[in-house]
Amino acid sequence: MAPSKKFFNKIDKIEIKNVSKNYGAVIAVNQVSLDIIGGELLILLGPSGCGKTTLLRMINRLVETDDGQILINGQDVKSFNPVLLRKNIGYVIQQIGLFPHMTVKENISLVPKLEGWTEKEMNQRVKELLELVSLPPEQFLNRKPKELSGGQQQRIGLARAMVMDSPLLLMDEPFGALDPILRKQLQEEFIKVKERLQRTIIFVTHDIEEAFRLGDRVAILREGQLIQVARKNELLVNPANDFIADIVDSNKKFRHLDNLTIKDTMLPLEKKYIFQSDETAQSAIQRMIKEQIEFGIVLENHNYKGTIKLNQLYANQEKKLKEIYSQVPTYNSTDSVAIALDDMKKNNNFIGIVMEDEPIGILLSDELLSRLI
Amino acid sequence: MILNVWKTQQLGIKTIEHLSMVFIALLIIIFIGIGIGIFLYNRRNLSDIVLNILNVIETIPELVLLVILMPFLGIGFKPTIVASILYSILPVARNTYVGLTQVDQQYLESARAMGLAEKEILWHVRIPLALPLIAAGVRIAIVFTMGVVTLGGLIAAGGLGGPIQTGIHLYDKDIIIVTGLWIGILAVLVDSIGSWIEKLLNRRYGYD
Repeated sequence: MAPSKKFFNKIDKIEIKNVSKNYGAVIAVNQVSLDIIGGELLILLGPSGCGKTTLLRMINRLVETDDGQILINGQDVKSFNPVLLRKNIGYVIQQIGLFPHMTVKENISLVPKLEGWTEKEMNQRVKELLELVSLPPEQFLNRKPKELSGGQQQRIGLARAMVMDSPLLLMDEPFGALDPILRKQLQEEFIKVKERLQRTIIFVTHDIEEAFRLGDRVAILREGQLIQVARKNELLVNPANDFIADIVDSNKKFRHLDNLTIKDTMLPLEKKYIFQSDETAQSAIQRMIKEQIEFGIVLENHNYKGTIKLNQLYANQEKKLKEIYSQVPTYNSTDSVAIALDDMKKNNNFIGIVMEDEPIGILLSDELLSRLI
Repeated sequence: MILNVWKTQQLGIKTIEHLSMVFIALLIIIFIGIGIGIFLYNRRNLSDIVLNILNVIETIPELVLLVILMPFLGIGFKPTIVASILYSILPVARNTYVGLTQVDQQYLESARAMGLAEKEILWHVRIPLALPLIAAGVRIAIVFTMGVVTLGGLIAAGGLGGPIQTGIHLYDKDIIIVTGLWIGILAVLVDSIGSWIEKLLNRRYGYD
């Protein structure tokens, strides 16, 4: 089969013009107009049912518009064959949807295979992509999705979406189903991937913190209508109305920032995150996969030693944890949050350990909060 | 007693005859059953009608079905195979249809989103994920076919139904018991092969 045509090598501009979609009497998207600039990461933010996913799916025509137009580089998406259009646009969903009967390699290279790539080309591309999402290829190529943790599956989902090297990526709450620490880890990785790739990305989320962490601009929707689209700081300084003001300042904790201690905002340390220093990396890997985590704290006789990450363990499977842990900053539970967040931001850490006599909690960097400091 | 019956009734050859009939019938059943399943997936509005007709056929007792076919197909091999097929197509066709239509939405969504055409989704996603269910249907078909082929012995189809018939005519308990038990054992053996294949497919293509 002849490889299908590439519709665009680069996104200059996506124009959404007066787009509407009804489902019976329900108006899912109501007269939305929005321009997306090539190369930016635009967040579609709003509560569930606000139309953000419908809007996203109209761009690759998984949903057809009832009214209005969507133009990519000036061309109406309706002028493309929808199947070929989707081959030109990467798409990641929250449930990931890795095919359970295919290995990691088969999952990633399905479309290339249908496009008639050679075995060698596919192997090379899959390896590149696995490295890009921080998974050692030789460990993962031949695994089945059910042998992977949720975070690993989500990375494969991202690799699969990028396999055709499309300049446009649509992401629908890709980190929504993960627990807070893992979500933060994947967000950090994603920021690095994004900087390397320079794609245009449209990213749906209902998590304001995620929006502020990842987005260049944020578009806020409610009940099918676009309320405001702006750079992040503008939303904080100039919210268009009370609804926006409420969203960006929804958590009461922001109002008493100065009085907050770390203990008020940390995640209490759950048992599943604790590993002993004489445990082997291999056994830690197994436990992490089972517990669906990718981060752990290493203790020796109840004393805090350091932290481990799942990705780093694969290269050192025979070693004991005491030989491979790394350091992250520690804070006292009674310290001020403002100071700790400032410190984490300056040193580019997104995770900190909260100590009393022994570790009692995990502090995650908070983009929104640190902008208010 | 066992050896004696085995020799006089030539159970070895009869077993081969029996199993080859089952095998031939099954091949045709799988072919037609999956074919009907895929056809119904493409024409969903016909699925109720077709599956209901197959259901009605299946409610006809096996013996009656054989008798009905005799005026058209004579006696022996042909009506036996045709009866086996008519009788066993329903589970294969139904399971194929259900398997194809009930693939988890997340797989269909991600397949569509990556730009697979409906035909490609059928071959690369729906059919593989339906295989465990199709195999379960084939297993039911195996049990049905073993039964119908045995009955075929009554209308001179050969196989292990023949010795049973002889036993009944001669009122020879030994023949009836030995052959009957042997058919039972064979049925269990064939079914466990089916179950093994089903498990393999489940491991390869199952959801978890």
